[in-house]
Amino acid sequence: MTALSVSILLYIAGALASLALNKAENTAIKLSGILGALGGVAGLFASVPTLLNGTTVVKQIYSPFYFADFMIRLDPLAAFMVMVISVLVVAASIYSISYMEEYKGKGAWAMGFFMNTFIASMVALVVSDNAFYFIVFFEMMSLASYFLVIAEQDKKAVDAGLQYFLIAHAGSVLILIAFYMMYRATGSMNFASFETLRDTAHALPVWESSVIFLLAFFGFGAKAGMIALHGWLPKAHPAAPSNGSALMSGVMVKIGVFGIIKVGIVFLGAQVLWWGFVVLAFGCVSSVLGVLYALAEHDIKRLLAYHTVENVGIILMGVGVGMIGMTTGHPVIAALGLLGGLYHLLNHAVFKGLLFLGAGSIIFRTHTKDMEKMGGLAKVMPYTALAFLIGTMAISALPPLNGFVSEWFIYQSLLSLSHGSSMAVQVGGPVAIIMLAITGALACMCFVKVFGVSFCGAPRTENAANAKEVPAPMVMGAWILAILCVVLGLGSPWIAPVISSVATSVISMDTVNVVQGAALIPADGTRAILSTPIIIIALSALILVPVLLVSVFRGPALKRRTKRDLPWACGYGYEGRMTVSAGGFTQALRSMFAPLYTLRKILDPAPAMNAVLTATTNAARKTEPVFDDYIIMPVSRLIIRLADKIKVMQHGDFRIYCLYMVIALLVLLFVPVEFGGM
Amino acid sequence: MNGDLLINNLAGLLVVTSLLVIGVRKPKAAAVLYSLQSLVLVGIFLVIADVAHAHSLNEWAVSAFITKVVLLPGLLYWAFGKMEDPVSEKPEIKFVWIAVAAVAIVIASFEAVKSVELPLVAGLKPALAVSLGHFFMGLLCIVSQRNILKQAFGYCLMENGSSLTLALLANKAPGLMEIGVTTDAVFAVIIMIVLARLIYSKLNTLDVRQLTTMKG
Repeated sequence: MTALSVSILLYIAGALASLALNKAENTAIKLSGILGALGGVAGLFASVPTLLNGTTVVKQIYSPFYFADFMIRLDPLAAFMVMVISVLVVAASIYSISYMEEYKGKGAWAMGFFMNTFIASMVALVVSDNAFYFIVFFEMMSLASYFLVIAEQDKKAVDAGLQYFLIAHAGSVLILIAFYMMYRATGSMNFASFETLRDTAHALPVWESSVIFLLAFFGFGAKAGMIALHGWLPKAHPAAPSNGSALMSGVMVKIGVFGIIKVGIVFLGAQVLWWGFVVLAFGCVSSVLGVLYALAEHDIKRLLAYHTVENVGIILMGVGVGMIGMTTGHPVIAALGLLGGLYHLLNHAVFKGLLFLGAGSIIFRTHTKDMEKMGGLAKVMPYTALAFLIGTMAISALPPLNGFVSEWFIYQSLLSLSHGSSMAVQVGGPVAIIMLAITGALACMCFVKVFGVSFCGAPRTENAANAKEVPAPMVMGAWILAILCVVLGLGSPWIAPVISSVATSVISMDTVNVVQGAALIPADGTRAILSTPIIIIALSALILVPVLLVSVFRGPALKRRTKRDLPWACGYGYEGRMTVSAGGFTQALRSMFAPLYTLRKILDPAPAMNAVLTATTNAARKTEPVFDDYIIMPVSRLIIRLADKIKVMQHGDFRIYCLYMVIALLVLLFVPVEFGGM
Repeated sequence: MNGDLLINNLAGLLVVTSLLVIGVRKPKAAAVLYSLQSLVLVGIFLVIADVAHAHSLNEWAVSAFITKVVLLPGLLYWAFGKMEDPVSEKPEIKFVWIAVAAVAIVIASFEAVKSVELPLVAGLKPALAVSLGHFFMGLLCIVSQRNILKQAFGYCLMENGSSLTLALLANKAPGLMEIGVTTDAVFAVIIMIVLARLIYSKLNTLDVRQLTTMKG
């Protein structure tokens, strides 16, 4: 608990220092970065022991409001979220020390302030155990990130910011209503009393709890950026500075998932079966559409943002399975699904953070977000390229990296789910598996495109050709996350049990044993099986086989080509334009899935919002003269006439004014004396 | 002679001296007369100290002598030497009317304090009336003078009135507080003189009638 307070205080100190040093931007950038990173380290010290011990600490802090107790609760789920936030904050803050140089003179100090405020409010949000404070921190988080979105201050960023602002607040209105309904049912705003709603004794009528669940699901879903409510995400995330995008995509959307878990499982206990299916369905659709839309993007940051939609979908699939497992009374499936969801939540934070930082590094050197204008960067930015490659492999769920592990758990939970007795799960499970498989394949393709187009081949522009490696702090920030991608993958036999205990604490059931093994279906119902070390051995064997084959059957080979030689171009002179481009790479796919791409236009809320805005302005224009003619003009004429009369008092000689003052004083003295007794 | 009677008579003398301060034409003479009035006030302090056995009042009398009898009139006398504006010395109202107004103020003040039921000032009601009246005498001074520097005397008269009220009603108050009350007047007057000098150096006049450029 102390470490947690230290962490939050460090973020606040970073924010204030950055605010105070607006005249000395260099110092402001460094201080906000260093204090932020230290805050992240303190956050890790606060959360990791809680995760390992599985303890829960509850503390009440003085609250200035009589209606809301300021309850702080560091339970395994909250500690898990704090850990995820802290990990990413450490990397992003170190990264920002060099990266924010780009924003010098464009308000880098203000961004340091909003960044640290944003982080502090997220940490405070996940540990607060009272609806009122939860909402307050939720709003703080939305506001601080709104200012990060409009950092560039061009029309695109401001529009993106407005849309983000509207959707985020529409979401918080829904959440507010859900919290209010739970407050009405329990008579307290403390989450501890909301939790009593999961007991059958205190359970609300099904329709009421379903309404609460749906309100919270769509409210938090808007924040999570799931499909249908995702419109803001691909616009807002890319607009922020890259370290901000990393945090928004890596952590902030997870707050939405956190909220869905909190309301759907912790408060309401997943009482109704269809809730889980709703979550699962939205997860499936989000993951497939998210990755499809990502494929069509040329803007590297927008592409990554769409992948956030995809990965939130995958996480929601895990959560959905968890909820279905809970309702149907299968604790193993429930724990397995949640384990997969939470593990993927952590993993996505790490690799998406890494990819956004990498994208930031590219933009830092090439000054463009358009992948068509990059190319050949691996030669000039080798460290960034390697880290980015690890990130792309992790997000494509290639073993033995972390993305594979969590998706594996989700697959496993879906497979177990398909064994269920009811028709719905027997159909739903396999469909979800297919969706997840499509998503995985498309993600893989997408990142072949991203890495290939921006890092390989020949440079397509002057800027790309002249790029050089980014400063050490930026390389370090990216590499922290790259190493974590490997550690979270290879270390899964040791990490999965910890996350599994978080999952079981959420559903209040016994821990699922995660044992080492290689079978796809758990032999025993209480076991989840995965051993990445065994997988890595198997994989290296797989690589070994072709190497062996080649070495045995090798015939006469050409001399090894050196790097300087140009690629063969069917006898024509080679040109940079011949390199595969991002557009060409996905051309076939885009015509294949054309109907799904048109769906994006339909789902985009911008035209509808525009129409509403135009209608409102037109209506306002019509009604405006009415007010003018009948209220404003008569009043202003009266005021002018009165003022002419009163002008006489404005004599100019200040002795008169002295008299006015004394008269006013006397009147004020006598009025209370004469009429005070009334 | 009875102590209360002496205090009341001295208070009466206070009214006469302030009337002289307001009525006299030459600013320097007004400064001298103000010094005289303050001397009367110091006398009142000493008598109250003796009658009410309030020893802290003696300290106050000393500080009032330094500030009100010497410093304030000295400062204003020096300022009048630096800045001269004969036009502004013409009175706005004839002296007779000032005297009538003063009488009216005194009568009104007597009426006002009639209802005060305090054992502490049972025999000192005339003095209390004078102390109240001085607030309005000060106002009269401000309204009737055209010379802005002479209007500062209006403030000083108000100050004297409030000092007298304090001495009558709270004569056992700690000396330090009372010293504070008297010294703040010095700072106020210094600021007024500085303001007057700024105005004089810009517009070369002290006449209130000329200072209407701020009128909207």
